[in-house]
Amino acid sequence: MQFRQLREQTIIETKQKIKQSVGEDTLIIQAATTLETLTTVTNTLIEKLRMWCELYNPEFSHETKDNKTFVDAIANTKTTQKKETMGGKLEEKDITAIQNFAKTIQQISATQQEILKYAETKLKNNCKNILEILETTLTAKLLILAGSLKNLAMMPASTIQLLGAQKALFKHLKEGAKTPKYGILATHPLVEKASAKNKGKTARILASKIAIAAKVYYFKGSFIFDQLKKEIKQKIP
Amino acid sequence: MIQEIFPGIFADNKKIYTKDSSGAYRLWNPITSKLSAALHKRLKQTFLKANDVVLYLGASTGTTVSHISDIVGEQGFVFAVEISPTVCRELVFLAEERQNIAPILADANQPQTYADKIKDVDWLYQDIAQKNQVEIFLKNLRFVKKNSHAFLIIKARSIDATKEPKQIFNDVREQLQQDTEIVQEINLEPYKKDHVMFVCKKN
Repeated sequence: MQFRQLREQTIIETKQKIKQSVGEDTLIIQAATTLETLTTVTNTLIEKLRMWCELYNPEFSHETKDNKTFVDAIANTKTTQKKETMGGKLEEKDITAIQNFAKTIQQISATQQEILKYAETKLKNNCKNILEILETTLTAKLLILAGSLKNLAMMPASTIQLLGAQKALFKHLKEGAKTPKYGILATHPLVEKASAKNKGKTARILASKIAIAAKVYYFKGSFIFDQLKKEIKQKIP
Repeated sequence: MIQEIFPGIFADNKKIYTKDSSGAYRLWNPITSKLSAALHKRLKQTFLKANDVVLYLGASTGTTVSHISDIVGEQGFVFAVEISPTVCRELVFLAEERQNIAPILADANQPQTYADKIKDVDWLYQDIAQKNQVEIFLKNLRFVKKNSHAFLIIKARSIDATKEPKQIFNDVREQLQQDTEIVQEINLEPYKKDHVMFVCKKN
């Protein structure tokens, strides 16, 4: 067969290329997407745990609003029913089942913390400039939306400003709705704090500095976050 | 009752199949493969037969590639070009199973990067969701033999999300008519929204 040699050669070549495509970028993004999934999953699981637990001890679930203390309490100690409880009578094995489920949630949360730490150190080594302006979760989210450090470095500030607002942007382009002012950057503390009138302005300033930070690090490898932070402080209304 | 409707392609009442090397019929799902969708929408001719050499741009994980590899058979050959390393992994596994697929990790927008590997293509198929998908198609047309056929799938949303799809298809038709003769044009509704397949013959 005429193509036999060619086929074998391309398979080897492609395998090599795929191998080389794995870099720090891909690891960060994988960790970041896993974190995002874990957050949603734990929230759903805790909701489920509350519903289950409320069959037995609705008063305790009502009193403990904080999710973490709630899960810890269920996992570690056997909660006792109040005298005039609305909860039903459960057998010992029913309660143990609930407790085991809570323990699983505890483990997942612990893994989540570990991954967060791992992602933090990775980000510190790879995009400290951006990390200093935004915090960890926002940096991670921005990277997921951009796809890679290289993509982010190639993006103009206006695109970064609207990352995460694609739906609103296309609605604007297509149907003439109002222009979006910010995407994922809306969750940044500075934008959140700004008055309604200044939100767009703040997002724009942040985006332009992030664009510079990403470019400088990607192409030059130097840290300029001190200067950028100063400039942001000066410019923000 | 299964009948052969085109070389290597079989159909019973409402389903389409290809035959793999062991002789078993493999169902060709119109939702996961746009070529199967076109067959369901009465494609007149596939122009694809056993022993053909195929260039496939935008191979992804290789669902359609595997069926084309069934059709061209052991003496035929498929060059599968894909840009993303993530989905290309799956494609490599497929190529290791089948003796007639060469996976190429490259950007179809830059044909010079893989030009040394490819020659004498009988049949071109492109399914790439990029803004310049027509330009990519015209660039890669140079690998195809004269009077051979090329299939192009246009995703209107990738070219311009704000324009009317009909307008975009008209523009594409004009662009294509300069270098090729358009044999058939199929709208892939309801399997794919805003997608049209152009069947072209190279002048």
